[in-house]
Amino acid sequence: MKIKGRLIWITFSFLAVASLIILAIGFGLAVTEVTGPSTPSPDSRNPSDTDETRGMEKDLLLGLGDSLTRGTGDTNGQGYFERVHQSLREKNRGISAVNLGIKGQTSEDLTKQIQQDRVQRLLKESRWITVTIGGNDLFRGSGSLEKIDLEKAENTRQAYEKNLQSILSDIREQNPDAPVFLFGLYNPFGHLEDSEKTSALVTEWNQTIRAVSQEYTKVVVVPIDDIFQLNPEKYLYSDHFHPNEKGYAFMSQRLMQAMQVDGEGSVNGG
Amino acid sequence: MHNWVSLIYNELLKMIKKKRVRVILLIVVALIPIFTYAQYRTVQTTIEQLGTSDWRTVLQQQIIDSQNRLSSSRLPDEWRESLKLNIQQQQYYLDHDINPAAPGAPTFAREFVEESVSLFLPLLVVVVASDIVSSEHAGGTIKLLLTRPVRRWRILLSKYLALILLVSFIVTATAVLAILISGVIFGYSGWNMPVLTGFSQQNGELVTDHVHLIPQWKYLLMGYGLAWFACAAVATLSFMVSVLVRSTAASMGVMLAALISGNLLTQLAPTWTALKYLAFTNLRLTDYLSGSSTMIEGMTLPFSLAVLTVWSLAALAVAFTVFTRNDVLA
Repeated sequence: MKIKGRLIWITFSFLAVASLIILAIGFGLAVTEVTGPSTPSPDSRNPSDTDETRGMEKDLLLGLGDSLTRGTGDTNGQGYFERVHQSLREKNRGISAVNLGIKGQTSEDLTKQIQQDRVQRLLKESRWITVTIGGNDLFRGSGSLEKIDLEKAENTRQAYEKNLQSILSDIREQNPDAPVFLFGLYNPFGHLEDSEKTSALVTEWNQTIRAVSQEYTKVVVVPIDDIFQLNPEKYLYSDHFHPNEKGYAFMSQRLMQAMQVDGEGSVNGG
Repeated sequence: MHNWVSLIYNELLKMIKKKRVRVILLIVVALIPIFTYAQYRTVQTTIEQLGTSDWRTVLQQQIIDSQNRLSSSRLPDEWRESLKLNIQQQQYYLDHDINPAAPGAPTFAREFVEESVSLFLPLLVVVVASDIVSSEHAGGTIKLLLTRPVRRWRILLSKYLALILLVSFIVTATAVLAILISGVIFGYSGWNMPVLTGFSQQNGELVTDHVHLIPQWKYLLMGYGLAWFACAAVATLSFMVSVLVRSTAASMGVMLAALISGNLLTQLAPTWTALKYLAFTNLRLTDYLSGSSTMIEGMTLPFSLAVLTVWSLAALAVAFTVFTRNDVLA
């Protein structure tokens, strides 16, 4: 008994010494690793073995664009995108959604974002693509609110037209089948003095959106300017620019109608 | 030489025959399943929310979310910087098709050491280290020890070396237990998964020049090696306190307070750069390996190691001076 007891303690001591040596080696390695000039090791990755688990995602809802896709102004933080996602999920648990909307993004930024490797891969996998873009172009590139510079606005519109064409053709190149739902623009300043001017601009831009989207197959324009026409204060957030939760609720209804998600729950199209 | 071995062996035996060591191992055994479950829940929730288990999608979503957080004007500048670095790092993972959180016991053990290096492991160490000398006073056995024909500094040194051995054992045991227990849920694969290291920071920019991949087992070895160094420094400081304060409870209290306030201070006052000269703000050594940004500017691995070494050497000097000169009366 006594001998057996001793044996345990001796083993323990050896274990302790062994762990000391191992940890000291690890420590030494770590110090040389972090401080020493690292040798550029060849890239030993092989991406093929990590790609095997994919292909499961059939029903991906992809959101691209600006703060509207992000949901700015919605006190629940959902925006139209998360609402639509939730409704879709009620019908089909397998539906996933990725929101790539970035606050303040312009069409110029989106053309760049869409070039990213990962975004292109997501585009390929998507079943529906929703886009809100243009609001930041329009209201930043047309001079200040009080003094709308028509010439400047026209230049911006032409740049926007080109960017939109490049965005849609990039999407179609990556994914020829998935329907693209492109939201129209609305006039957040419709209740202010200069409303004729701003409304005319918004109408002109919406015509551009329609004209461009007709060049591509399965691009659906979802108009929303009518929602905000009569009582902008009611559906706008306190920043007088972004929709509030009521505005977003309307937007999501519009989108679902366009997506042909009917009340009973089956998901058509796509 | 033989004399030394038996001295250290004797001290080691005294330490592990106390219940403390077993209690500590029990704490680890009890807590790791909880951490494992917590980690498991986090992964499940993410999958649930996104409706996907593809980590690339998750990572992309995280990047976008961080970018949106960046655009908030209420964000403090330090956070903004570290958020930016995080985004760059995640983008790098994405571009190079590397899953930063591939589930598996080794990944869990890696994240566990990164999280526990600043508080959990040091706490365990403090519990065993702080009574190493004071308990001899409390039990009165110090007189028996000192009446032996062995010089005092030899006795103290053998105690110290035995303590370092015990700390090594605790760190290794934690690693082994973390792997064994979490593997039940996550599986035991992922040893050769490539992990990125070599991130460094210069003026808030993430320098990726030296970034390269190492297999995860090597990363684990290095991570626990760094944790071991941090724990050894904590053990050394506790050792000194244990010599100075003759009550075990008091020395443990002192160390715990110091440890916790070190952790709190870095979070409360990240702009107070003088904090970086304290020992307990330098315990997060594994951050240098993983490339997560440090809270205080100007901290590098050599700097942190130097600070910890200086504090440890000073503590040893104090401990030996006091122990060899003190009168032992009561």
